[in-house]
Amino acid sequence: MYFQRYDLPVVLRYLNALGLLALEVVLVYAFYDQFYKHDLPCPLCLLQRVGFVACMIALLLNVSYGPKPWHYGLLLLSAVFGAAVALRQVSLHVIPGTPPYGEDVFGMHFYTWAFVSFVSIILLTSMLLLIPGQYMGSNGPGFIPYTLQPFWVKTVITIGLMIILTNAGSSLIECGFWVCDDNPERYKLLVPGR
Amino acid sequence: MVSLLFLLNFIAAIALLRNSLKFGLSVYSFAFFLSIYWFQFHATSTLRILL
Repeated sequence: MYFQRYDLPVVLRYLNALGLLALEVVLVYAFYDQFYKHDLPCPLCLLQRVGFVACMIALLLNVSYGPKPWHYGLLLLSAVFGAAVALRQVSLHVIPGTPPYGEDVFGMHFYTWAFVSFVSIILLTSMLLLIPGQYMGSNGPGFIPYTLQPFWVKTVITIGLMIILTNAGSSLIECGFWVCDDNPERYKLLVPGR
Repeated sequence: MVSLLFLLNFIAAIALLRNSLKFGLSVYSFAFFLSIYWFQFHATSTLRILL
């Protein structure tokens, strides 16, 4: 399908919005595991969620302000941070005989899937950076306010904001105002401890 | 502490949606460096326990 030159920034905005949606699906699945399967996230798990949220905000920059190289730079930095945290957790459990943390999904645990996801984000962002003509310059609308975005983009942004806020609330309830437990078994603010 | 990281990112997202680029990026950057500090804190504390 051939896109005219001035359509490319718009296409890339929508592509970034789809990327935002993909990250939201990841975090919603994490919530499903937390609330339905009662598998509380550990401190490193929460930091990986922070990494995903940081990637979401970088994508939000592209959606709202149009694709720019430094937005992709922020996306890469966030993904590198997330990959480092995930890799640390993988390394803590990789020695044979060391018990894993949490359940596995299709044979790999969440932290392994997180590492694969962050590396995929890095690879995809690198490929996106290769696309010429996506930076608008003097062409195009520049900043598009939330209210003027297409309905589906507004929905994606709203869901993203709700996910970030829910993560803030659930991590506060789980850890309280203290350091999170390495192996959390209860919500500290709901169930007073020993 | 971790909830603060999420909250800061939320504030940054709202600011960016309202076209407050400087403020949004300042909060985002602060949250990013705080995340790195928190990761380093967790990593070194775990290492201390192991050693």
